[in-house]
Amino acid sequence: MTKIAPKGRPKAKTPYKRYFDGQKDTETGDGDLKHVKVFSKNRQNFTGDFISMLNKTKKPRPQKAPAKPTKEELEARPKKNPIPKETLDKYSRGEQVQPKGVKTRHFKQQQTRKEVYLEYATEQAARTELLLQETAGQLDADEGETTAEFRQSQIAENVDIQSSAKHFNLNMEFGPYQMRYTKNGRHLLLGGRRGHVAAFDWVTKRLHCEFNVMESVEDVQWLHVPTMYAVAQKSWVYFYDKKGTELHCIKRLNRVNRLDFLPYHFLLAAGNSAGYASWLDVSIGELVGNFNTGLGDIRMLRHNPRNGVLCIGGGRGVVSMWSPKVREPLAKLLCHSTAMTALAVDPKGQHLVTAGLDRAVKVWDIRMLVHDKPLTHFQLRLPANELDVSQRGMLALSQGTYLETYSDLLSGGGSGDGTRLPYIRQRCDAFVHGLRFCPYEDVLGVATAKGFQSLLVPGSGEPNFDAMEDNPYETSKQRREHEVHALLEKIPPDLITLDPQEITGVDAPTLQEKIDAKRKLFHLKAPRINMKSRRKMKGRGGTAKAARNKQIVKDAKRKEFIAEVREAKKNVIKQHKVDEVGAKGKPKTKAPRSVLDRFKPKPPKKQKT
Amino acid sequence: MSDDEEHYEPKAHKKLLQAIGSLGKVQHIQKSTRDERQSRQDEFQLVKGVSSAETDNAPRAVGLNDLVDILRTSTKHSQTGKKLKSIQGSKKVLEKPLEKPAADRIKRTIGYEGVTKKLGRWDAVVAQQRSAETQIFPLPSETVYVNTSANARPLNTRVKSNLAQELEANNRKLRELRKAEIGDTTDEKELAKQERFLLQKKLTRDELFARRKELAYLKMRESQKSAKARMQNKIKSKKFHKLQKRQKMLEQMKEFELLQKTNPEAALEKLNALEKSRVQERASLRHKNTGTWAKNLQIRAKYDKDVRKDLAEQLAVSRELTQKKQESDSEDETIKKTVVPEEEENDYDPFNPWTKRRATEQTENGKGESEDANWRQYWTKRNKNEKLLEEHRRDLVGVQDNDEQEEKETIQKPLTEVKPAKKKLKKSKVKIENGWQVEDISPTDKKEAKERPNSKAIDDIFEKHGDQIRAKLSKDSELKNTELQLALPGWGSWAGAGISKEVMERRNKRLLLKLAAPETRRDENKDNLYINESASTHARQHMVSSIPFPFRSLADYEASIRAPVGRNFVPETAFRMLTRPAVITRKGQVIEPMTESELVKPDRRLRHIVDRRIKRIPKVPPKAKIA
Repeated sequence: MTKIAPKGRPKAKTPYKRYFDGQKDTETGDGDLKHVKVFSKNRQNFTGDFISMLNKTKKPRPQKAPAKPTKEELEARPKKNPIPKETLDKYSRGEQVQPKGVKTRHFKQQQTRKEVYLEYATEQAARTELLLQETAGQLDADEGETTAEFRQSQIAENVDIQSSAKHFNLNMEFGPYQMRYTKNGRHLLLGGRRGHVAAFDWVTKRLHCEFNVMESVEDVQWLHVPTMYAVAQKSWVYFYDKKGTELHCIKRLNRVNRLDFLPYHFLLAAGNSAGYASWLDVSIGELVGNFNTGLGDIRMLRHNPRNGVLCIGGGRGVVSMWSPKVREPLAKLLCHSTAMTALAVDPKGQHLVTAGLDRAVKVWDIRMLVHDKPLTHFQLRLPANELDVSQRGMLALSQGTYLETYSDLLSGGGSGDGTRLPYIRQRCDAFVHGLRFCPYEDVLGVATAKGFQSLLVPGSGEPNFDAMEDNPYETSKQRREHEVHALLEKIPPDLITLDPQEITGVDAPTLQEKIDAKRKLFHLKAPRINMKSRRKMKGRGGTAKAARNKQIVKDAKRKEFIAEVREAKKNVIKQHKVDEVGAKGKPKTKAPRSVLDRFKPKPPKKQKT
Repeated sequence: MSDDEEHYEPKAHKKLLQAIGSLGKVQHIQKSTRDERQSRQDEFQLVKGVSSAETDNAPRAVGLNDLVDILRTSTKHSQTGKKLKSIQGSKKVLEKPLEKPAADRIKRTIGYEGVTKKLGRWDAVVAQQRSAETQIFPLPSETVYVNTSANARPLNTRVKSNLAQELEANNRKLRELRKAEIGDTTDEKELAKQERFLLQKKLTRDELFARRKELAYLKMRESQKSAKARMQNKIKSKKFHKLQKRQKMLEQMKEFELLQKTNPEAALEKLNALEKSRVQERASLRHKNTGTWAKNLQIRAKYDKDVRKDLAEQLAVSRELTQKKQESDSEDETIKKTVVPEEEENDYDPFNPWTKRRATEQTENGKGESEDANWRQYWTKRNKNEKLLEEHRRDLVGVQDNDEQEEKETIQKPLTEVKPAKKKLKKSKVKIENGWQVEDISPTDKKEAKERPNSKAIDDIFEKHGDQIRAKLSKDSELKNTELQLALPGWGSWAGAGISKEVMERRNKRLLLKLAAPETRRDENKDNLYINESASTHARQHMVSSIPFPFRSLADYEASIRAPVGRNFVPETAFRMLTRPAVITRKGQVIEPMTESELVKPDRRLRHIVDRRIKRIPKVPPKAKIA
């Protein structure tokens, strides 16, 4: 193979002059000194033609200034690297500010300039699309086959070695297991009901720690870094580190059933068997919210990643949404007419998936809560007892030991009618107790009564990860850096509302406040006036006169105030006076009553009902 | 002919005649004159007085005419004489110069005009610098502009031959020798240098003319202005001065507003000055009707309408002047105004003479605020009790046929319920006794009026899901106190019991204010959904209370904060552009002030695409053009 020098490479510079290749003046026979041009070392040997080439003088460039392109030409000329509009729209942050909506000329200009910056930012973001090289996988069935037919062993055989290593089973004997992946999908935490807790890097299968807490374990949850996790044990919640060292025992979180973690708020959310919902700020170790929801034993609890609201499923088929600072539910949604069995929120926070004892699975749009009807609704043969939604919108549900996944949350699903088959199905050896998709991997983790299974579900995980956000390959240094940044950007718990954009709005007074202000007007009392009389001049009246003057001023002020209030009241009354006309529809014009009218016969009275 | 006749001497004869003529006069002593040098002056001026004839001939002061007459004698000066004469005829006397402050003021205004013109040249540069995205200091000087025309020297194009050089040297030598012979020691080079310097310094004729012209113009303007000022000072019209003053004030205000935008500190000073002038005016007690002018006018005011108007205006001005001060002083008082009523709102209804008296009495007793002696509260409480009671009864008995019995019960029940509140109020109750007691008879009328209009819909939902109803009816979701009853308890029932419900209702309806229509909820008509609408109290603390300044609508404000800036949200290149500093200075370099070359410098070449795009944005035209 021959190497060709790149075309556009700049010519090598002549090296610096050294002492040995200094100016060489050669003496000719005539005794004159003749100047000899010295070339660089590598060209020393060349003679003849090459030199003559060098002697050629460079042609001067034409002096004519290039014609300035006209406006039309500028517009007509296509851009060098155009970005397709769809990509731009994808990265767009929304509508621009209209210059009309900005007040002064200066600020108008400032705003238009800012829009240019933002446009540039959008363009740059759209250009980074180029870097997203990974594509999501997909199982494609040949004709006459369905994807539901494929067994895990078949899939594992046909994928590359790295991927096939991601399919494994763990048989463990400490009873029904709960499991969690870290946010970057690298580490796995298992907690067995009978006290077994194990944390490991599931990709390399390197065990961090494994121990028995000698207590029942209800739930486990990673904290903001993969070096710490919380375990809800029989009575209290404990924090452990990666090595299994007990860090804290949170006695204020007692008899907790379910744990969840809000990574951007640093809140560990817990629901206990007495119906209490609690939020523990793990960065400062403070309970930011702890109150009784009145829902009884909390068995289903997931947070909405979009707004940080905690969704709690109840036994009455109602999903209620909670914020740590508000002691009442932000919203309630009646999802099933029977008791609920499972709920899941998709990673984008768009959809809520619920399953009930009525064997139905429903998908709800929970962004704006404009509809009280589900987006889709499908019927199963048995009620689903666990649910999860993957990053790319795949749905996994389990019915006892049997487990199905659907490739699309909205369109796929409904094995109940028998016409549509699931994407992949699997029968586990034991009852399924936990079910989570692994982020950034095509893997579904299943925690059963007898252990743990890692199943391959092609196309479930997001193929391109944002290393600023979640980095599955992060080093410890990066992890520490990330932790600091995340702490700096921590969102206060006050801001957990249904609409995450609410904070950008303006706090307008509610109707109730307006009403109260008007009411208040009718109960206003004239303020007390403290008049300090000036220093009395000699011979200018005594105390009696001063007192009288004071009284006069006070009276005047009071009268003024009363007049003002009266005026305001009149306005209010005028504004809200109920028209007798409006109620009945036709104007009531009464003839002026005469004195003699009393002698007229009375109109017949209406019968009382 | 006699000898005597022959001896006629005219001189003597004249003297004689004079002597005869002056016989009758009293004084013969002439007034002393200082026509020659004398060592002693007669102390008493005892000289003979001047006769009338003598005074005619007596020398008088030299007038202009005399001069002219003299000048007329020679043809050479006749012209000058005429000129002098004509000057006297015109009789123009020079004006008295203006007072120094006035003259100075005029000088200053003229000077100001010149300076503004000079500084105005920088406006474009300053505006550009201000609106630039980034300013880099020290100013990058890509091209240096030097005016070289003055120092231009022709190139030494010819090469001198050896011979010429030799000749030149010889010449120089010769000249030096000659100089030495003469004994001249002046240095030619030095002289040449001086000459050049002087030449440089000397102004050309045109320049001189221009300068003189400018000076003349300035002088002319000054004199014009001074004349105008003098004229205006002479004007006695009060109205004119008033108008002038107002105009001046307006001008100052305008100036102040302009300053406020451009230079807040100076504006503050200006404001202080304005305030001071106002205070001074106030202190001087002009604009009162106590001055002589006003008093005179007052006499005439009876008959003249215009005068009355003038006086009123004067007073209005004074009021305005004094009032302003009050406003600024009484800020804390207004705060009090808002705070106080919150505490005492409940027991005061200005429409009601009864409660008013009661309120005053309470304060006298010293327990006014502690008690909730409010008839409205009483009513709400009672109504609630009744509601509960009725429900309870409905559950227990179902339909009861005896109406009267029921009514009795309802009367008794609330009375017992409200007892504790009443106990505290014993004294006041006596005062308005009849009002309370009569009202008790028709207790159910208001309850029905207050029933929510959409209660039926709620019932339907209740049947559906018992769980929801609890929340939907819970206190958060309901508009409270939307109605305001202006009628006092007992209103329209003085005649006693037995007035039909309809009549009462109709009467009270006239005095019932509906402050708001029932609000449509977000989850209206959504049976399966409940949204808590008052839950956002915590988030509200973090929100802005009104649309921030440059934005007109909420949508614009929201759009302005739609995009994040941080590194995690935008690409690094964009982040750097977004967070680019407005001013960049180079380390360790002195920042010199701008020179005039900055005025003619071409625009800096913009490297970044954002800068180029910004440059392409059409400028928003100034407001004057839009309108």
